[in-house]
Amino acid sequence: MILSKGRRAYQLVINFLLMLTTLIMVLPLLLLFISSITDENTLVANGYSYFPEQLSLTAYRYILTNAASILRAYGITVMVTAIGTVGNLLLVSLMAFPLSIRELPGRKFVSFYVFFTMLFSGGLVPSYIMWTTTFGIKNSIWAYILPNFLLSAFNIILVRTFFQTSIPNDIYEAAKIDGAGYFMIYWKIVLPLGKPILVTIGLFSGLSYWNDWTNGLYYITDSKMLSIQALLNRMIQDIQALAANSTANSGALMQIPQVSIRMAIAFVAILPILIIYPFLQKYFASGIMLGAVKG
Amino acid sequence: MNKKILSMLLVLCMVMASFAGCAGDSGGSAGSGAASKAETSANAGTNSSEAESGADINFNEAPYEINFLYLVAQEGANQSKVAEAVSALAERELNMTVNLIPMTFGTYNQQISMMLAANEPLDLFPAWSTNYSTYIDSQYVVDMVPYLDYAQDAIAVLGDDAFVGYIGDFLIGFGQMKERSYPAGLVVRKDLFEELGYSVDDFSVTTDDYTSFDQITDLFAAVKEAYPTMVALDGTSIMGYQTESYMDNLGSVYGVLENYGQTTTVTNWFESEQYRTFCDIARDWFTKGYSSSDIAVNQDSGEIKIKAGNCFSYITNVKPNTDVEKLAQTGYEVEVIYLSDKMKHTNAVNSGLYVIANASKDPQKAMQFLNWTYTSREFEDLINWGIEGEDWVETQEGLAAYPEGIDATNVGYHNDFGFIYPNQFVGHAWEGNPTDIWDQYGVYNDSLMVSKAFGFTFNSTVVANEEAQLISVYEQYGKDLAFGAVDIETTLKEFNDALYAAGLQTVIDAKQSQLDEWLAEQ
Amino acid sequence: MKKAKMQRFRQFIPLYVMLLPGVIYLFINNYIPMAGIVVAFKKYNVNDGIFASPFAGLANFEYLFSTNDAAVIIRNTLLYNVAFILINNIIGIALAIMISDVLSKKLRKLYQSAVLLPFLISIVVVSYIVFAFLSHENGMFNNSILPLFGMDTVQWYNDTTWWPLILVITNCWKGVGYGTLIFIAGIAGIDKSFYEAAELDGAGKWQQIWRITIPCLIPSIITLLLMSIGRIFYSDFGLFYQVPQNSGSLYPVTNTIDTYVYRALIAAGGIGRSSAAGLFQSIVGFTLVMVSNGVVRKLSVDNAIF
Repeated sequence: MILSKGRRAYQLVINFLLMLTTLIMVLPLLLLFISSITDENTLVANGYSYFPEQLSLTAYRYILTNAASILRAYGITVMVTAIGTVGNLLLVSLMAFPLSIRELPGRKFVSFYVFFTMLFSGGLVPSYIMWTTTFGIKNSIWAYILPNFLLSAFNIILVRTFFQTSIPNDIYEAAKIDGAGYFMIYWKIVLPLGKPILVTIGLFSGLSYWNDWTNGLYYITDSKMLSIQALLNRMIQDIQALAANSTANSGALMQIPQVSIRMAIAFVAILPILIIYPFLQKYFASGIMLGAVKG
Repeated sequence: MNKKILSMLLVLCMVMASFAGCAGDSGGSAGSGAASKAETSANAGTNSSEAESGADINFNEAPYEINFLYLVAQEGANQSKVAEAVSALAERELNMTVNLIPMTFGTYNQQISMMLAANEPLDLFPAWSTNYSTYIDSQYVVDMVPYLDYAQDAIAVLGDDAFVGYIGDFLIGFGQMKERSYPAGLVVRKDLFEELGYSVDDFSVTTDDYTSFDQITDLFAAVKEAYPTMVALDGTSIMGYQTESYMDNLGSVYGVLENYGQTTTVTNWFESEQYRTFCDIARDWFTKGYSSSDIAVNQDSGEIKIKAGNCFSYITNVKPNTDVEKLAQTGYEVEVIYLSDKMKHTNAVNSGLYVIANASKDPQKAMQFLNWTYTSREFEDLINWGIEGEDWVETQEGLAAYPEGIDATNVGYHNDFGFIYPNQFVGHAWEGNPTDIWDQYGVYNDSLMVSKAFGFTFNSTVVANEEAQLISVYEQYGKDLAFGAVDIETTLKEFNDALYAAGLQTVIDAKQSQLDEWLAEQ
Repeated sequence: MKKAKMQRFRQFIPLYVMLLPGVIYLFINNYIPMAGIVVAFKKYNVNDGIFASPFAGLANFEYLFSTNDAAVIIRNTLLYNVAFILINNIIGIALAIMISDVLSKKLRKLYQSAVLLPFLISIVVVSYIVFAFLSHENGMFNNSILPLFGMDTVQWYNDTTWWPLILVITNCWKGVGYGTLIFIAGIAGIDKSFYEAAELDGAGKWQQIWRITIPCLIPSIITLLLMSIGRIFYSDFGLFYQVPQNSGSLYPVTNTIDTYVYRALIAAGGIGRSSAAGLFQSIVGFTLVMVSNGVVRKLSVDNAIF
């Protein structure tokens, strides 16, 4: 593609700025990783550094002794994220579409109903009591999926805005003339055209599920049902508690690198996402390009 | 409803019995102090009818299931085995089955508040002193007074310390057998210490003469000169921050009994000469570069710093076997220089208590079970060390140790949390400790200076709003002043002004009046 | 005519059916527990439960207002949120425009991933990283960077001067990726023929951005803005408590409503008080949103949230 001089300059400038941005975003992550493989004593004595005096894999070795529970936790988290994200996308799009139809009677009311939930919340305790006593989800996989993340008002409104602005009314008119009902419109027109925002929301929803540690903290006491964040959170807290409270002969304590382990655990928590993300990008890029094509 | 009537009847019986049986006891049951309460209930125990004797277990009824929540270091692979063993043991001895609910420190606070709010099945759990007032207010816990008959063994074991759980007339729980004091001490690395030619006997630091702290300053100077790359002092505490060591803080740092609790007037420690001196000393150390320049924001414990190899000393609470403990935790041999006297005050003893939950279906049985845990060697060893033969074995000296081939990384169950279980003294001590360690603790506990307010617990709900603001002020200035990270003269004045503006005087007055009331009843 | 109206209504039924699952879920997950808000007005005890506990009026709210810090914490919360909204949106839009314009697919993927990476790291870990830079003993700023410029070391955690900037930068670093991706999606939804037409008319890059891209993004911007206004009395606890290492000297610039409430609840806890704090924050946010939404309605009905 032959670019004009002006265009070429523009490309150079934005690529330069974006590279700079990428560096700024990534460098601290690099520090995280390097600290996780730094020798514990060096870390405490000299602080965090990009060029540590001594490296050591002790933190990861310690984590690997729990490999079985970590793998199980990954499994649970993957399942939860998959189910939850699909559920979220479905529910969000099913709500956002009707709300984007200007002629729908009661639209204002339902929008308010949705938005109100973003502002007011009963708090943790009433939610907990309701979910555990009425629905009995404690220590089950539904404890990860159902509370809070299955549908978020934020996503609904965002998607609704996108539908309203990017899908012109004539398309609906044309479809109705062809005899399509709203379900058909939703399935054949809205979903494909809404791909950019839906992919984005799907990503955010997936990340919410993956990163959530609060549901696991309150609803799960069975250690076999821990998600990866709940498990890692527990590991960190327990190590710190051991450090603060143990009495003689925690020879175990000697072997746990308390400071570098925090970094190692943080890294283990995001590792799968780092691995999967490039593959997800495929859907992203095509989603964004396709958005431009009219149905 | 039935439970409430039953408990009222029991109290009535006790009162009757005490009037009937105890000639010399004029304390009665109306708002008396810890000691006389002990007498009352002990007498009530011997005088009440056989049907209420704690020793009577009815093996003909169906076993009662106890939900016993306790803290573990980590969830071990043998958790379920231990749970079965405990349940079998309790069934044999008490006709109760046990549902052990293990929880780790990390998740404890959040999960317990949910469980209590949702009234989930729970009989017994450990609670912290910061929460007692809230728990009583929210009715999360059951008053133990009606069930004291069933707590005779626990009372006997705990002795003078049995009734620190009284807040007003409400007995919230029983404590653990452990050290009863948190004196401040300087933990130093033995190798460097001796290289410089020092020995612990050279030091005698006391609050009677603040110039004795110069000995420490000189020590740091020597360390800095001989080892320029070492940080002389690091960690997370210092004299001005040791609020359990130098005074009876009556539950919070706002209004205390100074001078190791040897006074009955409540004052503001932050205006005292002692606090000012501590801050000045810390400032001196900070500006001279003896303490780490990050010490005021550092979150890593002194143990971690020593283990890293570039720290010489840190200040912390010390006890008889601190050196053994720190060797295991840091890998370095240490010496301990005491920086305060050893005193006993209520908060040191009742910081953690075992309480009966409101959700308990039969508090009497819960009490019986708790009582039993104070005397059962098997129970203590099971929950602390695990299954005998698999997770631990008894050594020749009568201590506990890992079996052949097992160590900290592959053991199925191991806690070493004796300080948070009812009675670690009745179980085995771990290898590495002197064989008479429990006796040593006993001797240590008996030798402590006792605060004049020992047994008194302040009920803070009356000043809850003030304390909510005071904590903000304390967190803003407390660390920087104590560690000497800011100019003392100006900041100290700001600090005290802010404290009074936040309602410090109200809290002091409230503490004084409750204390006076309590003293009058002694 | 009635028949026509009925028919009109009939056509919307599929839409109502689509709304149903979401409405039910929100009712269960959000509205039922909302009844628990009453506990803010009660002296709670577990035996009476939330609804039967005795009424306490506004007692649970006192600790929020009787403090001398009330002005400081409210000011901090508000000002920081305003700064965050401005900075994150401006930078987010700029990044989104730039990324969407990059020709190379591979590079676009790279940039998109990079901006979102900090979002994945928990704020606690971020606080360690910040400490790695700002620690006095070992931090990179004091030991490597400042000496380069011949400047003295700074006790970062005792000096309030730089912290507003530090916190805004940290928050932007961590959160800008979120908005950027939303804006990228928004830009993707813009009809490309607009740009082609503009090109033919001889419009330059700047003109295209100003006249096409931004106006088409306005709906998303306004949506995000309104939602941020609803949360304007809330702050990111980790950012204001852990990143400054809870250092007392920094309180004048790091104390927000959430950090104050957290500390207060440690001293004097209970469900009533914590619920009161949340309710207070919600009411303020709600009022502000209603007002802003009303304003937006007058300007352009479509862009209002409801």
